[in-house]
Amino acid sequence: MSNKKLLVLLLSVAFYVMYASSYSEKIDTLKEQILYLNMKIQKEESIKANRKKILSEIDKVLKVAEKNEKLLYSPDQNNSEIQGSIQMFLKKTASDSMATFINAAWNEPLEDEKAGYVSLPITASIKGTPDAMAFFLKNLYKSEKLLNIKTLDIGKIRPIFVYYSITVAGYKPLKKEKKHGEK
Amino acid sequence: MEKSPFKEGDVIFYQEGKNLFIWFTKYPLTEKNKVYIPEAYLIVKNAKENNSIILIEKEKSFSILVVKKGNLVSQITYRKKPTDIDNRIVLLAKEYSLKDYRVIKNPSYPLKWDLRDIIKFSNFEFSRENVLQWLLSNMAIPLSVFFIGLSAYKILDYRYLKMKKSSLENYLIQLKQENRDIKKKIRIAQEKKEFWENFIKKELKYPPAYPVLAIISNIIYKNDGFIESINYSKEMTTAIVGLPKKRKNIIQEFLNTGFFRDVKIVSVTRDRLSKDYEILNMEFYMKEIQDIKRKKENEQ
Repeated sequence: MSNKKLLVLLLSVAFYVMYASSYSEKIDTLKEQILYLNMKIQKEESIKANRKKILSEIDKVLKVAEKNEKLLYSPDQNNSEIQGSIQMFLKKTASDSMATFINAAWNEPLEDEKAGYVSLPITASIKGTPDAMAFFLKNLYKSEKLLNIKTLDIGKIRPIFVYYSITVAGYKPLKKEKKHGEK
Repeated sequence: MEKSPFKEGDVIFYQEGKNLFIWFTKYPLTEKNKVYIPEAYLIVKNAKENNSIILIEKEKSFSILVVKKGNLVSQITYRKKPTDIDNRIVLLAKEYSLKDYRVIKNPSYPLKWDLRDIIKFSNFEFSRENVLQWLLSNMAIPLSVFFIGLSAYKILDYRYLKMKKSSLENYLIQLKQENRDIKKKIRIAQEKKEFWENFIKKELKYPPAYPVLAIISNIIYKNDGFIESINYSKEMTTAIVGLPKKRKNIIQEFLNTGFFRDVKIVSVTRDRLSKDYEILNMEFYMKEIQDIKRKKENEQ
């Protein structure tokens, strides 16, 4: 009788040690995976629950971005085309401000791949009275596109005429390469 | 057992001091009960009498218990109640030298017992073999059941968790599909936001030229000065200006505008055209736009 009981005990212990205990590790792994899944589900559920709110926030961001994007040149425009139009604008602004546009040099475009845009600088020399030059500076801000004054050297204000050497830059976003499978 | 009046009976005993108490039973005791406590022992214990003779009459037996100084000294059991019971009581009292004893008939005390009584009538023998034998006979099956149960629990738990994981995965796929469009929009919005934050941080970090030059020229002219030249760049603007020799602390005036992190006079030379003026080479270090905004917000 005792031998039978002992045999049953040995078999049950052997079954547990050799087979069932290996499930402990599998169970732990499954529990960790379930925990991770639950975290992901929680995140997705939160997005689903706040859908309206998120869409309204996205809308706000996109509107601001759209407004800002109008300040940049189109990524489809050629660099020379853009620098040419900046030069034309500077010339016209100088003329409108009763100043004289002397010359302009196109600087090398600076491409910032990480930031995703190209800076297109131009250095221009302008001559005029101090008042005309002040108007010129003010009128620069009337540009439809963002023209950022990088450097400005003003020489000799004591005589009637003032010389400006001004470097302004326009910007265009880099064309996005479509990722594989992206529509 | 040799002295037992019964052929197939058993024996119950316990020792107290020099006295050994033995009860012979008519039939063998079963293994079902581990401890047998004689009724007479419990009656005497519960009676709490000093010297007494207790008579217990039952349907098929009649017992006489002799108690001396609180201890049971004799128990005689008959099949029927003897006819000369009074004589027997007197003889027993003489035999055991009982003085001032009481005769109690059929006491109905509640037969209370405690752990000490169980220990008194137990006959435990501890040996390795006995313990192992006891363990084998008593623990093998419960342990087997425990290990089988534990194994079954682990296997079932694993299957349940696997099913749960699978259902969670399906639910997550469903949620992801439902959120696909909004996540695409979130990604686009995030990209645009990051683009503009980056752009502003790099290109529009410092105040634009016009207000900076306006501030510098206003302060210079206000102090009866003039500007020879100005070189503006984002972080630092340099200027060569002419100012009267007798002047206020102009640097503090620049700093009070909140636009400049620092203002330095690099050199001062005599103005060749006017003895009352000096030519100053100045450097203006700009504050970042966000610092200027923050300061203004704090002031408001």
